[in-house]
Amino acid sequence: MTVAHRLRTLVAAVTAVVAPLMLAPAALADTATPENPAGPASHAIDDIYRAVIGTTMVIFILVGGWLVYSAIRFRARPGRPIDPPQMHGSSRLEWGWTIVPVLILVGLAGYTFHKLPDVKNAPSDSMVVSVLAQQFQFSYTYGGNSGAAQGKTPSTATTLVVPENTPVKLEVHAKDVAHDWWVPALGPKVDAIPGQTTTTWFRADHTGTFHGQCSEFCGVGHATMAITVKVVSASDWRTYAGGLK
Amino acid sequence: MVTEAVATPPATGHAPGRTGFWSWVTTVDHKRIGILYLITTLFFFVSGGLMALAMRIQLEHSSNNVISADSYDRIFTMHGTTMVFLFTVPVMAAFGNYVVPLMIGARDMAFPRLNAASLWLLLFGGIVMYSGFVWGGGAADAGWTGYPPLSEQSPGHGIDLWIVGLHIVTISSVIGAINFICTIHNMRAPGMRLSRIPLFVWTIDVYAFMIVLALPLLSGALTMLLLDRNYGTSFYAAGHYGPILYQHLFWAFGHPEVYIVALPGFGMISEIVPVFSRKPLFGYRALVYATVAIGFLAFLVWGHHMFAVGMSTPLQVWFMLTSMAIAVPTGIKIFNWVGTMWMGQIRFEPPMLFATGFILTFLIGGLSGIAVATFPVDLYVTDSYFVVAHFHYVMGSIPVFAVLGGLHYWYPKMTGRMLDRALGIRSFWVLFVGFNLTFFPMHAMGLSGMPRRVATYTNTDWNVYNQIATLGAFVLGVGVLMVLINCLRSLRYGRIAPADPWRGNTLEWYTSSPPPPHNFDSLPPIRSERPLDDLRREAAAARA
Repeated sequence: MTVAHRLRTLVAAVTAVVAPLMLAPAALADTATPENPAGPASHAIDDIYRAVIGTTMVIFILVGGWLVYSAIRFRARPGRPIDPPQMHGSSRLEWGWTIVPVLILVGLAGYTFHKLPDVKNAPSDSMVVSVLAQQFQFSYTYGGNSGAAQGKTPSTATTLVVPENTPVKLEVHAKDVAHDWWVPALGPKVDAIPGQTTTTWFRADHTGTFHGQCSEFCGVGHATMAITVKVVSASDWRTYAGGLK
Repeated sequence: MVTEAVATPPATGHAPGRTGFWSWVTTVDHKRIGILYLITTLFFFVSGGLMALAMRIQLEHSSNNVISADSYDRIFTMHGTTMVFLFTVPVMAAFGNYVVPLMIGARDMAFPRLNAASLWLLLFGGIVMYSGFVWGGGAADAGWTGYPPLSEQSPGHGIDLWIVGLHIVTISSVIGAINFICTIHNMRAPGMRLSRIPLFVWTIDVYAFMIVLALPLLSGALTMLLLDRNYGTSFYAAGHYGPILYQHLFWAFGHPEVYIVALPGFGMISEIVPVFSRKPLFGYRALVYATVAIGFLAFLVWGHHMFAVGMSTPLQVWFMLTSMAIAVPTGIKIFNWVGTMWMGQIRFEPPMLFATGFILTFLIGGLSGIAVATFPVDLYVTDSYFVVAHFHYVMGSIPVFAVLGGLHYWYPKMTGRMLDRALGIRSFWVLFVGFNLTFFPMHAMGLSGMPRRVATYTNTDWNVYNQIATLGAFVLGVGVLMVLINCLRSLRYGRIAPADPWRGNTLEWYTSSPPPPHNFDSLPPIRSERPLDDLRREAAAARA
């Protein structure tokens, strides 16, 4: 095989690998990333996820490519000398591949800190909702900043109704065993642990119905412990809140 | 230049020792114990794998009801427990038992009878745990993590049998670990300095220290759980942060456990890659330092399993940074392996194929580990199938690719027969395809909201991922079956193995296959981490 021939084969192989990767993001946007984020908390998580996964995919292509290339390029073939050069290491290279990953990780950590407030901090004017988790359902009681709904527990136990564009802070409790409140499109999940109060928050930027389910194994009904959050317009919310008994 | 087939070791007297059933039951020979360990752990591997197939059948499509939720919970609990405690950890002891004394030029382990005790305790502990399936009201059903209050409220005695069984297995692992430490630090042949012991021996040493440090945490946590369940204590009562205390204790053991499993797997790869690349390890010292660094850092990262429990932000930041830090020495290992292959003369015998497949799959698991270490992302993916995908790419690629690679590598030494090469290569490809088909779609399941440990699901969007995973699981099962058939057939029909079929570097290849009960008639001088390579070079120089 001539050098030019080899080069052509290499270019063809690289194209065959890279082209699908360039086209893949569009096709895979939904399977390779979190559910369409519907508010600032889930947006921040989505952004950090994309930064991390983008960086790691580049690393995977480089390192995996180096591995596969070495495996093919340096496989034993007749006519090659049997005894390859006996290299015992290279301090410069080894320091290099110690320091470069450290720098990459520092960069990812820095970006995470930058995005952190949106994930963690519920605004002080948030509507407060107390969540009670028990085998095998979630129920909700409205608290501060919830207008006419304050102090009320809707009888439709599994559906939480909240207004759009309003920050909602969840104070989560558990009655029997540990559970976990998770609605992927809205925000970070949070464990419900007996004897403790844990919190999370979300703000939905548009109306709609969002689904989730318990994410901490809690017994035989775990798989069916559903969560539904119905986000309604401000006027619909006033009607709903006023109608609660 | 060195040619093949030089420095044939002196023929060792082939004395097989006593034979027959009782000679195996009563044996204290580290090689026989190693083989019995291997048979025991492979038995548990197959039973854990069958449980996984049952789960994949149940999850094949939405709203399936082949298996009830109650049975499903017991099956996934015992699948995790089996794979972690009865297979992946002790299978390292199987290879450690067989190979470590040979690699360091020793006659046996430091405490042969203690060694036999750890083998039989492992089997006994496993039987106690499994006995829940036949009496006591069903096997454990609270997950391999056994979180209270769920594990305290579980009726019947399944959880109690699980705790007692784990205690027995833990004692087995700890006394085995003490034995490894004593052997490696006291039984080395003259010239076998710590700076010359093979990487696999280094990783078994760190593995053993980690077992001695980490497993008592589990024993303490489980003892309190047992007392809470049966004798009215309230260590884990709600209201005193009891449930969280258990999680801290469990993961302070549980994360070191991941590296207890991983390090010897890394050690196997570090043995296989240089032999088949015909080069020394690239950066032996860096690999040793990376092993020790991983062993140390592994004790500082446990909180990343608990990001969602309402942990304070500074603590989340700490656990994120320590978890990211562990990626650095792990990266060093991967780079040094590929550096070893670079410019080599790589022979893709089955062990080398498995090693290459391992590096690639472990790379995926390591990189998704950065995603789960970043705690805001973890607050999305934790307890979802994304995490299931991640830990199978890490904890699952070790048994499937590193351990089975090690099996293909050392089988000729253990049995005196070669495995069928063509079948070995085919089984690698079946396993490689099956593994990725099973676990890769799980990333997508988690990202689209599927929690782990669900006995069923109603969201039909998840069907396609689950169907691919179920198909993959059966392919994986066929691959494991092919390996087992190869192992059994080759016992009788395999080509007779020479002492050194691979042109190995380490002392186990200096003695006959299988070695005599006393291991070595004589030992070569040991001047580097590759004494057999030195011998070949000397012989070539003498002829030139």
